[in-house]
Amino acid sequence: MARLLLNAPDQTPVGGIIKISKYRDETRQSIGSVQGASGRSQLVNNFTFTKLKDNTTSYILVTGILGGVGMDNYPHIGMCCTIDQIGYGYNTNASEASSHPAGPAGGGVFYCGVNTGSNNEGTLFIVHKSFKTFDLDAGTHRLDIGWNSNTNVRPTTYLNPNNSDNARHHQTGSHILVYEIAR
Amino acid sequence: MGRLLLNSQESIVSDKLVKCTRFRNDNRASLGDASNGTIWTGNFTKQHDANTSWILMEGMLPGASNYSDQCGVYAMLDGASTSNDTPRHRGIYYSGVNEDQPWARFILYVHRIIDNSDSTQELDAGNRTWTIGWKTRDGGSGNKPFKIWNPNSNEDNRMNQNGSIMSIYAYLY
Repeated sequence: MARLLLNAPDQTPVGGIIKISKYRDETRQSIGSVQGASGRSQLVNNFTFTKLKDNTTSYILVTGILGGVGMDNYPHIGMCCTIDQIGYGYNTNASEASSHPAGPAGGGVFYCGVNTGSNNEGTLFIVHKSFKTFDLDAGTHRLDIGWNSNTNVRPTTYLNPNNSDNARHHQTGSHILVYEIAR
Repeated sequence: MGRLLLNSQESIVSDKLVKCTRFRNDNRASLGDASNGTIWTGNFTKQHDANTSWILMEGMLPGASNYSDQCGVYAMLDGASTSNDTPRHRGIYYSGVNEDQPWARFILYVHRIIDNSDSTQELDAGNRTWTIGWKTRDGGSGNKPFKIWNPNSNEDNRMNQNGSIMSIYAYLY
């Protein structure tokens, strides 16, 4: 009652959202076949966001989708989604990546589509990863999404396709949200 | 100052979720061939204007039987620009098995951020309509993302009735 009288804001509920950072990429780009560290930021490269609270107060959850065309390497290729480049296995050297291709950075992103090099076929990436076990303090952080493989591969040929790929396409885009949530 | 005196908790800093409206559709349907078409539509109430709240459309629609590799799928609120290459075609995508067979499954996923950086015209307060559909950029006829929306045992007798969900989240800036 006193809070209402004083017009003070609602209290933060347990698990409430503190901040949302928006990532939107609406530029068609060719995706190269690469291995090891070179692949780790091929889909989302150094998206910076600000975390307002310390590690004991909040954690990060990332959700969204990316779209591509063509899938000339369809096996599992160590898809990665991580913050501040944490958890890329034991090695940071691309030539040693095969001993532990993904590490805690792995997972949280996966893709499906048609296993063909044809650039007519769609490849859908779904991103959904909680970083509750990561130690992330307040301040600026970076999000990277890609893969970590021991050979030159790529999950799709073009990201965010448009009418360059097929006349029926409009410019497509990848939309991801970075939620900061109270623990 | 009053909050501190009362020892109440800190307020949410930003991006407060003010409302979530959920929709379900559990009906199998055949999609027609056309240069454009509506798959699913619904209505909700937006409480705040474009400068106060933004929208996340998030949902998933299952499909069966390949048809068009791409056809210009879109997710929009009424008022959106329907010109070529506009924001309604972003944050929505589909993929699946390239076979014209009932067992060939598709996922059409929507995760579209709608805010006043590029889509103010979609964000007025009041009674609003959302739509999922397709429109080919070149006007090519005879298209659709897949043949069957929400497949069921008609496609494969091992399958139960599939359904689609859509959530419309309104967040304060």
